[in-house]
Amino acid sequence: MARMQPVDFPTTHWSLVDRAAATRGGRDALGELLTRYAPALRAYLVRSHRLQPDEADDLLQEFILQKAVRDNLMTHADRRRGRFRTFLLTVLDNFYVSHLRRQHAQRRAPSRPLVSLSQTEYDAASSAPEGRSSFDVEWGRAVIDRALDLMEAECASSDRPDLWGVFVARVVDPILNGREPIPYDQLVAEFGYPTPSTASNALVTSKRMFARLLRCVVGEYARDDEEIEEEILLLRKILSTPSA
Amino acid sequence: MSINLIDAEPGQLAQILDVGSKPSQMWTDSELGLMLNHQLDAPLFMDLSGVPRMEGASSAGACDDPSFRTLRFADVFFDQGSVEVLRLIKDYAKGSMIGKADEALPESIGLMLYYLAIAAALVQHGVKITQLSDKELAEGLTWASDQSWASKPAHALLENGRRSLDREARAR
Repeated sequence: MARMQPVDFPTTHWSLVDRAAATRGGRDALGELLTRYAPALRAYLVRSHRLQPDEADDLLQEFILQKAVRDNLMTHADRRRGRFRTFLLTVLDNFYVSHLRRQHAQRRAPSRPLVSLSQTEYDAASSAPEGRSSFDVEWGRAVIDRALDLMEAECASSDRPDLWGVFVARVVDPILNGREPIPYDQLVAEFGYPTPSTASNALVTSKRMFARLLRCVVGEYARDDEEIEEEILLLRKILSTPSA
Repeated sequence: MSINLIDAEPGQLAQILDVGSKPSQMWTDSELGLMLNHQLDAPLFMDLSGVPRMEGASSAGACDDPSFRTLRFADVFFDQGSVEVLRLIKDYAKGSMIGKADEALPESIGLMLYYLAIAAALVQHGVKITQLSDKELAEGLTWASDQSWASKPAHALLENGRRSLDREARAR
């Protein structure tokens, strides 16, 4: 997954999705959001529709350009009827079907104009069921990746690289690489803390920071605090499911 | 030191997500055990110098005793500690749980030190150094004793403290 540079981040749960639906400038925000989750969309196209990676990239590029820039995708979303994540995936599915139709039509009549999705198709997307696990796993990966990126950047900009170091040493590295957490007395030596207690408190601080940034990332596409909590719980469930 | 999640398994991602979604479960049992052991092995003077007395001034001068600089928390709990020093530790533990985020002990560790100090005073001196009722204290000691991350000596002290409390209650 390509590493993305942290950008200015909303301090409130002001959803990028709502901004995207409300303003012309919001289309840039939606473009940014779609680009951020492009790896999840790409993985879905490759795995579920069996596209070659370069085909998936081309289709995605077209999808983002058309949906975010031309159609303003979010004006079609009825967010009372489903999650943004599910809505987006179903719109992508429909876009893919249109793409196939277009290819087929172009073979017969090359000058025929592009086919757009009807409102009925958007409505169907809004109420589509959950359950595309590979997509959801990649989405969860992108969310966590983004939160970690932001945390590393925030630790650096606030002159607390120790918080990032402790978080990696005690949480991320043991989880990803199966290593034993570095003992607190070693962290004391490495980061110059006065006591192991201080090191353990730095870990608490770093975990809280990660929790806050995780909510900020999900808050970019969730409606409110309640939906943020639900989304995090749902992603956790999806990621914990053995078959995911 | 950017993290690469490309090859992370979904289960590993779920564990990272847990860190951010369960604020009440900041610590694993093994982490708490490690922290408690660190704290028990720490010299008293590093943490207790300057602790305000919360319940009277009977501990005045305890920090000035030369032996105070060589004592660890474990020495006072499991060998012999004066009532003054145990009271000081109890006050420190209480205060440490409400300190600034970067300075506070995890609540579970603070509570464990709190009950260990009270249990040690009961066992070593037959003195109750808290204003908690017998029922509240018994519940607290039972909670502390139920924590799997506490060391064996800590478990034994808490159990003995609970028995001392029962004996005192029966004697009254």
